[in-house]
Amino acid sequence: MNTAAPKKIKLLILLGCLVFSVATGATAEPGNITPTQREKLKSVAFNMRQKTQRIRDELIKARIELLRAYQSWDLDERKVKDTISRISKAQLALLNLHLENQFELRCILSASQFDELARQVVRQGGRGPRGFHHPHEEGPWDMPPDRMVLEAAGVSAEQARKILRLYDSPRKRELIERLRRYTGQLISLYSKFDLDRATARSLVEKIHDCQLELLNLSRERQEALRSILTRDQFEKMRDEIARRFPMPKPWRRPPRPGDRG
Amino acid sequence: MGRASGPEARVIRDHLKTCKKCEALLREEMAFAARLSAVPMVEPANDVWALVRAKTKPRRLSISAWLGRTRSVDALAKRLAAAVAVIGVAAVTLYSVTLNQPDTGQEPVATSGNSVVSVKWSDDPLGGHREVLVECIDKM
Repeated sequence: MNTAAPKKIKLLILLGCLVFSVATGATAEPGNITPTQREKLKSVAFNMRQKTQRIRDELIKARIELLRAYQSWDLDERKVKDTISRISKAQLALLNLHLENQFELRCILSASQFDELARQVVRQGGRGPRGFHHPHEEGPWDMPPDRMVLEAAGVSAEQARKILRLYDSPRKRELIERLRRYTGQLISLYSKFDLDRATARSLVEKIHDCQLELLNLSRERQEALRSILTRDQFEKMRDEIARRFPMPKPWRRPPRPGDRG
Repeated sequence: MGRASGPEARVIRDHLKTCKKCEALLREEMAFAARLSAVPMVEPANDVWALVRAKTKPRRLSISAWLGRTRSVDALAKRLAAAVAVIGVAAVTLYSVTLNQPDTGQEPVATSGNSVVSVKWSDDPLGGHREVLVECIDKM
């Protein structure tokens, strides 16, 4: 009788177990969570979702109002400033909400449980923000106008040069770069159980400063645009942009089984 | 000449009336074409391309065929072990390439230029992190 066959089958079973353990190890979930902890975590997740959605709804409303304000030749300074202030407050509210949730999680979980959760978050983090319209910073008035838009507006070569220079802003690039850097730093801070609260708060402030400056840059660009173009040219440009980029519909995350209400 | 269009054919016909040399050449060409058409068509005894295609046709990969070629239990076990190992490595690689990407806060540069933004990345830079966190808590 061939004695090598059972050996091979054993080897096969061992190999299968190895592959299974690697695969399940890669997707392991934090264990040893008590029912009380689970309830508290559910409540944190529920509140996080609800509050985030409320703030995002407000952000979307304010963004659309800002877009409408920018479509008018006669810029309503007060309206623009008020809307920017609303957007800025909502941005800060989102940052603070995340910070508060981080504190809460550390009160519910032990260090080892939190570390496992943090590992899960890193594993499932993906490579981009979820639930966003792409591209992130390219609203209809944030993009440099292309040839078709410029031709529709009937601008001269000199005007076109000035407009394109206006959009090629090193300050904006620098701000986005800083924003990304601080965000990365904050995320890495949030992955540690011993959260340095002072550093986290300082990073939140820095991120929010960048956000506000980006908003102000967009307002300044709108003002400059009106100093380069005539009213007729501006309106033609606006109509061409509106034709190509219709007013956005508010985005909503599709409902999930865990959602209530 | 039969293929030439109206004015072109007329020019050729007029020329042929006056040029004996060209008329003789045309007559010779027409006689040659008539002789050629009388020759029977010969089919090749063996289509070389069909043979080449048959020899170079890729073999279909079938697991049952692959396993079926083995004669002994020993070889079968070896092959099964190899198949499991390959599937396992592929699954782990796929997992690490597609799912196991750490969120560094560095967002990919968007390439499409025709989407309208209502809430921008800069409005909620930690949004992606928050959503993943909530999902992970849901799974706990």
